[in-house]
Amino acid sequence: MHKQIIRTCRILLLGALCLGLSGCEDPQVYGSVGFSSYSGGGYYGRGGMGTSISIGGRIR
Amino acid sequence: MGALVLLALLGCTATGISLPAVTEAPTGKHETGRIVWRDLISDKPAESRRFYEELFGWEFEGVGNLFNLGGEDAYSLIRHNGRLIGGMVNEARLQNEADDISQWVVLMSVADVDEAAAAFAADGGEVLTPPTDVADRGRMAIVVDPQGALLALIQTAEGDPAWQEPGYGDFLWDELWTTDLAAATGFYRNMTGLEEDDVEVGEDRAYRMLNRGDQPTFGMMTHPFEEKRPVWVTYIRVEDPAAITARVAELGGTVYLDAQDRPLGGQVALIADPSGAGIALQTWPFDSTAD
Repeated sequence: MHKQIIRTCRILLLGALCLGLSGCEDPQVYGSVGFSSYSGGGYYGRGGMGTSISIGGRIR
Repeated sequence: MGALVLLALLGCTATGISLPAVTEAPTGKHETGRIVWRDLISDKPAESRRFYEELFGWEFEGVGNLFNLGGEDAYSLIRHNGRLIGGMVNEARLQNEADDISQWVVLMSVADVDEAAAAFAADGGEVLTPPTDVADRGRMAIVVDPQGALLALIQTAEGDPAWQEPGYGDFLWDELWTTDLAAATGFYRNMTGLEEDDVEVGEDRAYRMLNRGDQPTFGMMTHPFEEKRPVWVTYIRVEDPAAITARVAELGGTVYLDAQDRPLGGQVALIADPSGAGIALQTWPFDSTAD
């Protein structure tokens, strides 16, 4: 019984070790981003918009 | 067993979130409201890299291993003519459940990111990633403004980059496309302390800038595309937008808006890279002979 508890603890610790390392590896500061501002197949698909839409840009 | 726990803790300490600084020549100043960096999140990093290399002459350097990000391609620095201008995040390296989050993310400078994130939340915005230390880069938070535009707030570690007149292929301007211009103006004015300035750009049309003194900081306008999510749009200075848009499709991108004349002069265009991330092109200054 005592050995089984120790074995279980070791497995849990090994799992925690693996999770800990994998969780620290990625640049997770961006992991919370849940959507793309440009999702949905783009604005109007391929082929351009002609001149009906005006965007901005730097002025000064 | 104790050694295992210690190893796990040491592993986390050694590989905590870390991103490189936004400049190699920091000024020591924090200019609240200024866009000081742009990160591209791409689900097709190899294709995106080729796209920007071919069109704008950008240089990419994988630094994922250098910063313990779980692989060389996890994060790349982008340089132009040797100068740091931005970064690229490999979307596949993120633990994210969304199908596709590819997009350009602007990083807005703030003097105190904890205060700024709290103000964002208090004024109706949302904090997706709470203020987090990112080593050399400083301290960052990912937020969404009350109308739904995504951006990052950054308190740079050693200060913001110096202002520099952009050359061809450099970032030129940043602009918020929003669904409620009046509300967004009040929100960003309160958050940044910047002053609004409307400039007539044609019949019955004004363009709003937020300035610090005489220094334009960013622009704002009503979203030109109906029923689209508010978004921060970054402009790249180019010599000939039509020459760029002509090559976009062959490099796997999309032309949203062909090159068009601006009421005040010059031309603009709107394209997307192979990941679907949108970016605008603009000639600058208006009179190309003044270059």
